[in-house]
Amino acid sequence: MTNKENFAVQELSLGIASRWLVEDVSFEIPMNQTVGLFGSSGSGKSSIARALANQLAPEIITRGILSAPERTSLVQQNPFLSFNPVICVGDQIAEVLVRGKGMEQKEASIQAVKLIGDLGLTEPAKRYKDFSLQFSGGELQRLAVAKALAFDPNLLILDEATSALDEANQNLVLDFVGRHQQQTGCAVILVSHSLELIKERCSYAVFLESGQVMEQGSVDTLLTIPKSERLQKLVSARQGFRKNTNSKLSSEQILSFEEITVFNPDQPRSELVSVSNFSLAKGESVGIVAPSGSGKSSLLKGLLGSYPAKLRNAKLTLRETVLTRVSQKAKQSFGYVLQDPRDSFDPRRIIGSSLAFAAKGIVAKGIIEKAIVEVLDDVGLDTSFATRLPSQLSGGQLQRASIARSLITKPEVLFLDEPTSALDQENEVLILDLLQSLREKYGLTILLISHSSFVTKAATDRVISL
Amino acid sequence: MSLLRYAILRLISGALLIVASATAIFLLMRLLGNPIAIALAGRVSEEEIALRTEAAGLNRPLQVQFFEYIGKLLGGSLGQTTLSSQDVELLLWEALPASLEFGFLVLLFAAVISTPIGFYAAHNAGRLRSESLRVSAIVLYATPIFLFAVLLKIVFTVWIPLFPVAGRLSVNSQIALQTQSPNTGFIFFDALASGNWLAVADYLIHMALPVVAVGLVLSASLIRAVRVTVLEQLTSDWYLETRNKFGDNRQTATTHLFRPALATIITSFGTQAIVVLTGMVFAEKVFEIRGLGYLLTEAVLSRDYNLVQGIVVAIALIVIAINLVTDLIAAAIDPRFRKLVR
Amino acid sequence: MRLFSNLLNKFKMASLPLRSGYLMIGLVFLVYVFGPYLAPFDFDQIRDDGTKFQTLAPPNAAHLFGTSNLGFDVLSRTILGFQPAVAVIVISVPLGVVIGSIAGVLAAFFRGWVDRILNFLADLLFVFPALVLSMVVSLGIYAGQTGFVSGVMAAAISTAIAFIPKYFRAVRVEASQVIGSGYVQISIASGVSSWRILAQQVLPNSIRVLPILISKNAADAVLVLAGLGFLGLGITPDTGAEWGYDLSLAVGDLLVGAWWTAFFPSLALLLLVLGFSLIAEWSAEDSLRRKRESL
Repeated sequence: MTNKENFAVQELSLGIASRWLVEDVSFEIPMNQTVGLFGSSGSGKSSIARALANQLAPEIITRGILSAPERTSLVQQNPFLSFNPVICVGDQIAEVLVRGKGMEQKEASIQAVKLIGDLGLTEPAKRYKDFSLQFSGGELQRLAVAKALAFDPNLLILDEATSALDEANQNLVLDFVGRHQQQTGCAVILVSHSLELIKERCSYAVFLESGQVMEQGSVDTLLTIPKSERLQKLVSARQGFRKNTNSKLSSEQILSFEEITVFNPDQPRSELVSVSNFSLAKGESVGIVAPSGSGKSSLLKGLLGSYPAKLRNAKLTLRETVLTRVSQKAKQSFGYVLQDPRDSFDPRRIIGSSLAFAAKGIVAKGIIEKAIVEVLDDVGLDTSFATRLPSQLSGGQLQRASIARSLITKPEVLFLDEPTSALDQENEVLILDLLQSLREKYGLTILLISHSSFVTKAATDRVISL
Repeated sequence: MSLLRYAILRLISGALLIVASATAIFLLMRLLGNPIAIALAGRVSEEEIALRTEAAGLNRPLQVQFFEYIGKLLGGSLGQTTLSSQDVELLLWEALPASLEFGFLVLLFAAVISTPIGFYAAHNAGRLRSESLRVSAIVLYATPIFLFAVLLKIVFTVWIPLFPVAGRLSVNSQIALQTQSPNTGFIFFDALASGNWLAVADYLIHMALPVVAVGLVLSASLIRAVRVTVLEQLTSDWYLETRNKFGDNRQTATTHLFRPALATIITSFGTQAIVVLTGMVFAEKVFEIRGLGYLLTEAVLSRDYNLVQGIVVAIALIVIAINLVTDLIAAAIDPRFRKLVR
Repeated sequence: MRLFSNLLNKFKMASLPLRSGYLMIGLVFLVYVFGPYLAPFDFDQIRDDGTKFQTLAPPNAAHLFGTSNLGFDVLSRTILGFQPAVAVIVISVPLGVVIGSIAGVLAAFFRGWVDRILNFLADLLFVFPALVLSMVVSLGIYAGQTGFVSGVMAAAISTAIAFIPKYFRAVRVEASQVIGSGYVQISIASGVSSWRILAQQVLPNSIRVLPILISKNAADAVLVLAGLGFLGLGITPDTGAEWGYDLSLAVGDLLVGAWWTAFFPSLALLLLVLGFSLIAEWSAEDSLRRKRESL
């Protein structure tokens, strides 16, 4: 059923109301090959993907030529949107087989069970009857890929489809897609912000920024000899990172416990994660590396009291006092930086106001303003940023502001939860550099959680895996 | 959670709600004052009121009275009316069939009208006909039911005498039905069961105006609910995907548009039950249908404390039961509705 | 000054139905404020300068809207009818909003038992139709004697009770999302006091959904007041001007061909209720549309 014609996008522009999301984008979609659409968020790559799959919101205006195959499947980032919540997932996959390939219902169901198993889920026959809400994000995403492939498309588009999966599952899915491609000769478009992924899986890549094509070419040439400045920066970012290897460590333990078990706040008897024999020395930087969904964020929440947790034999030494549990006072010696900088600020407050809110009660009233200026300077932001709203800052700037906020209370320990996962390579390295210098300046103790081994290796003295 | 678990928990919650409602009603009414005093204020002397209060055992501690109340309730008794010492529940049983049939017809009418219109409005959203439909729905919804009922009555019984002025049946049919069996008080049911088609038609003609009065206003809000729900489905990715791959046909629409929206629509019926009840109070007065609403109005006007209390308890029970049923149905067809706390 | 220009901006950006709604409510506000000065006669006035008014007189020079069966001036009673109507709204809305929102925020923040109990209470309040409740309340207040204050209070309290669960549920959902967002989580983890978090971060960001409910609340409150009057409860003509009661009397007038006693109060009632309903229905639409355009 594969069409031997070549497909392409020519001078495609997509706009809504007042502005253009995508401007004048052209590239070819060769059969039997994988094309990568690469760019940071807001670059328009998802819009192009949806345009190719004919799933754009009705308000969006399209100009240009979209020569896409008739049989196109799109797998998008949020799998819960791809599945009807009221019908069991197995039936939905079977529906594609029945209506798309003309199979008999019974055979389609059997095939669907097989597909579910092929994509790595256990007990496929049982899970056939489950509804979308009963799956985790990672599991459902794999099922979405299964559903997409069941359609036997000429073009498969994966829009950040594997970003939320851990490495093992990501490979499983992409290997499966690869095999399918070999068998059917279909074309694949991989949309991602991850350079590594594009390098690994694509033969051709299109680099997008702000809705326009900056550069495109075969992956080998593009990523080894990038022509545009922006791409050059991104490609070489990681190489440019210099790790500070002489960190001062003391033998004094700042935090230690024998065991911690964190529970689900809505179902207090179900365990989320458990860690044993942990210790953190003063001035040390420790990384926790684990794939998504393994409970690393829950670990932090449990430690800090957002989630119910059981701590055994805990000892905290903060500001000369020894404590056996994380009290309200103890928390005031902690700083906290999260993954999504946009989510980390009250959208209605200017940055200065958010910083002041965090400082209140801990920093003396008279010197709060001075503290704000100092801390913004520490992270490399001009004082004028204090009067801006979060929406007026870029992702990288906002994450720096988040770090500034965490520093204003002069914490002893900094907790960082995926601090660079939402940033592009260039900003990632800048933040890691910043963290390094701040650690030295203030003698901070750091606990950093990430799914990226690059980040944990770059920013920490030792690494624990969950 | 599983359907079974949800059903059990929901039933327990419903039972707790009934007990809590009865308690709340008791407390509220006692808060308002002494039953005897309320009923007889201005009609008899103050000493008489005090005497009767004592005689009715109303000066005993509140807990004692409360437990007696609950005890009686569990036994199915709602006490005696304050003014005439009749059994409250007997009066209720007399009035209930009229209201239940009325309510049933209203829901049927509203469901039949609003579902297709709501769908139509969603499908054609943004275009002039759909928008003007919305505006008319709003105007209708904003019209007070009693106003609408009065208008209908005046227009169609006086100016253009098409429909009977009041009541549920003409006298002839009433006599006919009473001599035949079954005689449950459910006129529609009775008439159908005994094959008295004349009575059935008579009943429907009598009920036409009141049902339209309440039903039309109910339809207005239901149309909006259906429209919004279906609109949401129209922009859902699973629908778009299926439409792209297999076309915009009936199977696509039923599985991916209608099914996801169904549970929401059914539960909105449940929440609108209160609106229906309110409307029925007015319609029953205007069209002189001797149902629960009529009884309530009379009871409040004559200040019959116990009767009012009994009716409100009955209303609470009905509302809780309706919501229970709709919640269970919704949970059965849609796994998203199996959370206890929404 | 800034408030005024904000309001003006909002008006300019609104769609046609929304503008109509705003205009209607603006008119209502004006009539409410200037009513007592605009009305030519008092609500229970049946004579002027010693001469008794003609009963059931059609609109004429002396009585622009005619007179009722009891000899009252319809124009005056229509205008003065805005007094109790607005009073009910002014009492009912803040009562419901404050209780419902605070409960919603508390339920979302503390979860567990607090959440379950508050939800149960909300479910309980949700069982009672506002009208039925108001009938019961009017029974008790002032031992069944009807009057201005009792009528207004009965309608206001019962409407507030009916809407508390709605505010509660809406705010609870919104607050849950806000609490789950980064900045609140960070505040919690950094040891900021719960009350500061609730008051300064959660509550201000959770009230987005309120304006629409408030409009519905206002419309309902007036309908309950009028409904109560129509049934013969609440505010009787000798204690105040109320459209519902007048309408119940006007039904008889219609049978003899007098239309003005029903027409003008109905118009006033519709103005109020329609105005708020339009605002409620089209606010959501407008903000949704603007949101999609800015994405």
